[in-house]
Amino acid sequence: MKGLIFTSFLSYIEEQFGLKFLDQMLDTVDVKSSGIYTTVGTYDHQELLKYIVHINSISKHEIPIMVEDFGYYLFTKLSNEYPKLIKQFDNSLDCIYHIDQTIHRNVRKIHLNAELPNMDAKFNDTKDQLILSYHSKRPFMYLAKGLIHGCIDYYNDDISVKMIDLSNGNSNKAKFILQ
Amino acid sequence: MIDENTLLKKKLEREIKARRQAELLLEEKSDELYDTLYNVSKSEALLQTALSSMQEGFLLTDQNLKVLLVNSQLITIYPQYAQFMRVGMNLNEQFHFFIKHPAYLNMLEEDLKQCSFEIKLDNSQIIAVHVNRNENNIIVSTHKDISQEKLIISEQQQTILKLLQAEKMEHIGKMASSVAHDFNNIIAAIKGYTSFLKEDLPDDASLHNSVDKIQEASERAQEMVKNILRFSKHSKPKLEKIDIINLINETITLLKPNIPDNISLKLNLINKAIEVNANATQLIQVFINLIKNTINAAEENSCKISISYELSDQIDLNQDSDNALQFMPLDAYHTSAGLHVFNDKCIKINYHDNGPGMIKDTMDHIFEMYFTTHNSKQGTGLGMYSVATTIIEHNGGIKIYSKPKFGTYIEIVLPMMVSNHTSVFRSEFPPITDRLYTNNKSRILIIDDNQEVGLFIQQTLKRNKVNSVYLDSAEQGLREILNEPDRWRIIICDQKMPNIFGLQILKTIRSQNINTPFILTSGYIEEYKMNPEIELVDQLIPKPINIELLLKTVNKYIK
Repeated sequence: MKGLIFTSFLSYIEEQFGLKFLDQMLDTVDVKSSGIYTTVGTYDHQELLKYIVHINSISKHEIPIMVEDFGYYLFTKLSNEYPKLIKQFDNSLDCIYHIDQTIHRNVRKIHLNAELPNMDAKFNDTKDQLILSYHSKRPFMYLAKGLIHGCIDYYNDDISVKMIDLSNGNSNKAKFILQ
Repeated sequence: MIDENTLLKKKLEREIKARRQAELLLEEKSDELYDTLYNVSKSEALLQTALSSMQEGFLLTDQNLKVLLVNSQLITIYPQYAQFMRVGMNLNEQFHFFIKHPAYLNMLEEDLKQCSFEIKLDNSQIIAVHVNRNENNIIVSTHKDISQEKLIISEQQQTILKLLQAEKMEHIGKMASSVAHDFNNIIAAIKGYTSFLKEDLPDDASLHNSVDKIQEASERAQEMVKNILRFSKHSKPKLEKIDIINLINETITLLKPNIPDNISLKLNLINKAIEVNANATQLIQVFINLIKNTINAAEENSCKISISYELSDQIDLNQDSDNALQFMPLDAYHTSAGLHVFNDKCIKINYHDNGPGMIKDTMDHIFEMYFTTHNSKQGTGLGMYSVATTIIEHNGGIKIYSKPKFGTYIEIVLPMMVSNHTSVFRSEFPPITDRLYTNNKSRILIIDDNQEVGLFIQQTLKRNKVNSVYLDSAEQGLREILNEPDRWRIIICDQKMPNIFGLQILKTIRSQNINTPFILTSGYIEEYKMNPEIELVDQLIPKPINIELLLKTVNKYIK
């Protein structure tokens, strides 16, 4: 998983729970990277899962809610880091529709080994409903949900999101209906 | 309790460590980047080599017609536009013949992926252009100068048209000549019988006057026919020593550009000179006609032509050949023309195609003038007529085997140089009649396919107390001579008869040591004067027949 996700996650924790909480988390959770992340590096996604499980164990925050909230935060972070990528679209549905075709394609060009989730987006005939099928090796469908919400709010669109969990409890496969 | 400063210090330490890690990673990436750049420059050099080794000009632009890549050939093709063909330049109005071409604009409008068209430049250069457009609207085009090819094709078409025209004119000439010959025979009869009439008439001036008018009119008609013959006379082909194997190979080379891909040729011609006495132009036309017939019959279907030859001292086309039976079923139809039995050195050329074959009706009429199974564009109905005529004129023979679905097998036999063969003729075309106009004491044999002329000669002789036998079939005439060579004291024979000519009869009987005086009559006397066999003739009598000359000649030999 790209380092940007980890650096964003640490910022998120610091903003949400404070530097002291972040420090304790990094001291407590035993990970290979020792909590040192750089945006140009790539790290094991299990480290992110360990942090989430740790937070859940001490704060009783629901994991799906926390991951979705981080997804929302991550979109804001990405839009700040890569404004050009986001600004080429007029609205959130267009942006989400082009994630796989444009954004993921460009990510693959820069990072040859990037393991990206499969995203298959289809508009209905009237182009006011978008169905997005998400399938990943990793259990991050709530992260995707948060990103979608972040995107909709970024464009100030009035769009409802319905997520159908198709993962059998693994949180890695879902269908999103946006309209 | 950890105070805030400690937390910040730890955070700072993490960030410094992360920065070091990032620096190390970037250093690694920079090595990778260097390798990548090195590989890119190598690929670029390869690309340039590939581009400059292309025969066509290559142009790559983006959707705004900004030049992204060109090769040197493109500049060679459009030297006057070289300044616009540099990477980074935009193709503008100067290049309108390309970017405003209707086919190019249509490709953009219809959202097509490719198009092809030809550009005609001001200096009459013709450029073939092929354009491809990919999903990112990158436009790749190749440009090839085809001016030379176009010129060659145009010249070839002109030559073919001229040849066709010449062929048509030749056949019209032959037809006129043939009609004039028939008229000659009719005029001969009118003139002859008028002279009998004049002799037999009582001394009544008014009747003599009418007969004189008939004679004058027939003289004028004879003059007119002479003019037509002079006009339409096709020169007798000059025969010379040629290597027939080389000739077939040259014919194939000549035809190759016009042989479609569905036709394959297999030549089994060992490179050995085989000399025959022939007219090269006419023989080339024979093989062209055979191959053209195969191509037309095959249409779009694949078809194999094989040509081989064999040498022999004895060939009898009356017998089915073993070679033919390898390819054709026993019940295949067959037809033939020309000589059939060859007892001297000769070459047999075997032509086989596995095309659709012919039905019996086609085989029955194949050598007839104007007989064709094709539409008017494909066939004139003169091809196989001309093949048979040429083979006969070369003292050869042709036999065709064919059956639908089994293809066609053709044998052409030509005598080799120093030919002294004895040939017995067998005709596939039965004569109209085989009547014998004779009494048993007659010792003069008249052979003429035209009954008016034949009976007139017989009548003329009879009026002078000379009995004769008249046959209107050349084949029967030859058989009669060969069967009873000592019976005949004089042979009066027409030259141009169906299937076998007078000179061929003469050559055959002389080769059998039959030395009976031979009087040759012909309406085409000028054409045969150069023929070497003409020396064997005892007397030439042109048509219309001069009675005085005929009687004088007969008297000379009967004594």
